[in-house]
Amino acid sequence: VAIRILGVSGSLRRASMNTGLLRAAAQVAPAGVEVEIFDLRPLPFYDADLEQVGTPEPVLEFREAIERAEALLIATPEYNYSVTGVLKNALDWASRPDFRTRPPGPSPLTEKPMAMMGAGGSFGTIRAQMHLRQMALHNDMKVLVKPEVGLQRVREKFDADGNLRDEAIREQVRGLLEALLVWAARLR
Amino acid sequence: VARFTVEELREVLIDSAGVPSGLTIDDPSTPLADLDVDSVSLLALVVALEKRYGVRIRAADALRMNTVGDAVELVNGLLERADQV
Repeated sequence: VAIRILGVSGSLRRASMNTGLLRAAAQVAPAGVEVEIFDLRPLPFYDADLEQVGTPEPVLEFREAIERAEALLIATPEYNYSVTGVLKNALDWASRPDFRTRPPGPSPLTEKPMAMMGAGGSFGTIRAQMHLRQMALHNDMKVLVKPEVGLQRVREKFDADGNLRDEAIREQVRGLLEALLVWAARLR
Repeated sequence: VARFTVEELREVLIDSAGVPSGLTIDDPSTPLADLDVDSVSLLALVVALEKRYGVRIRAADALRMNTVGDAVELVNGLLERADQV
């Protein structure tokens, strides 16, 4: 595989629409581009005590997956006007400095190209995406601004397993992925 | 008058997209894939074209160029539009 994009879903639900959007991205990826979807389920809650005795293995795997990736593609629902706790927790772990070196190195999020999308809620996750942009800003990530993909009232566009079955949305996802690939290439 | 030629594309492919310098292009309908242009080199080509010619290539156009002719046509179209501004 020539280019690896790391897909991160803010939802753990098996039939999540947002994870479904990431699977759709993997399906429409051009030849030579792989969208790997990282399962956040094994990540513990961020806890500085845990970190002190050694960063947990699933966290190390997540951070290494980010390092290996050309860019991140994050799909998030909106809970309480923001991203999910699952996503926030993952970003909290990922945003920590690299303590394997002395002095500690930058976090794997630093200068990482990123794009976001989301499905759900009455405003299509746009408020969650605004918060995500703020977090990305703090971490010096290179966030793609457009196209914006925020999908509202789309439950019927997914099947019972959370697989996207709508061509217009698939094209939106394709457009976002293509824009992310070019964005990352310009930043390389 | 075409301002961006197949020969210039050949140069950019060699300089920036990692295509061997012995490359010859006989026919504009040659698929880029036949010249060993994969996703990585296609994106490198797009970025190099943008820098060299001062154009901005839309992502959808960038990743849907299939042939040498597509790339030449795309860049010429952008240069023409820039002239009209």
